[in-house]
Amino acid sequence: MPLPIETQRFFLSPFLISDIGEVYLSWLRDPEVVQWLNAQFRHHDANSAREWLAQHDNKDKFCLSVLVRDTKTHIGNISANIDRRHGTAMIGVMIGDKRWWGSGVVLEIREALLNWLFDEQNIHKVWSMPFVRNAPAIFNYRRQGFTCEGILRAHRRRSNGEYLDVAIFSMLRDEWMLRRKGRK
Amino acid sequence: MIENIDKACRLVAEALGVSLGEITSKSSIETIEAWDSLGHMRVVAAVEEILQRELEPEKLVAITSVTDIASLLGSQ
Repeated sequence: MPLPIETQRFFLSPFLISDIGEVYLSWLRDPEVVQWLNAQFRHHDANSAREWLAQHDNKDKFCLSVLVRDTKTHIGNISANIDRRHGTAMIGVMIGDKRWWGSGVVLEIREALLNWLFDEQNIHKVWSMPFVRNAPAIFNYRRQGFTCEGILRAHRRRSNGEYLDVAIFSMLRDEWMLRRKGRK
Repeated sequence: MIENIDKACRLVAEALGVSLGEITSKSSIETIEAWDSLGHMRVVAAVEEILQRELEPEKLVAITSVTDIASLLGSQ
């Protein structure tokens, strides 16, 4: 399955410099959107967003736009940083358009991303480290069958200086295959 | 325990805005459509409000069902 990745409601295609517009920047400046993301630590403009995007090569470091199939509207990004040596991928997601919050977007696009990482990129393990207090993220990992490997205490800071715990969630290829088989 | 299950069912129904009849001791994030990511945030907030404290991280990340919540309420 080459890019773009397709789901029932969305396309996931490489995030491009041309996607960096006022709408995207408004997400990066929205405290509610970035409260659990590194984007909270600086004020973003087009230059800083371009710098950040330049860190992604879409070979090992993927940043994909989440586009609504019907309208091609950009509503967020999903990322995967692959470590080829170990066959692992660290993933992250930001849904910037808050009208889509609570509508199962993350579950839908992450299912497709997991299929793509395991089937096409030969990845052995996918992992992430959400803040423990980020209840929607924790819900999504649990709902999708990820295993919580443990808690890293006071591991990451928020922009107010407060240190918070993060959880390590992971999915192994075999676990995902079993889960997928069970759904068919 | 039965009393805590009843309390947990009421808590989940209220937090998710569904009727109490839709929630049973076997309900979980897998079985209740209204238990979505934002609903989960409300469920966690409701549990912490009743307990009048923040949950320990290990317990916070483990909530997936009515029985999990009943156990937490039982540890009050």
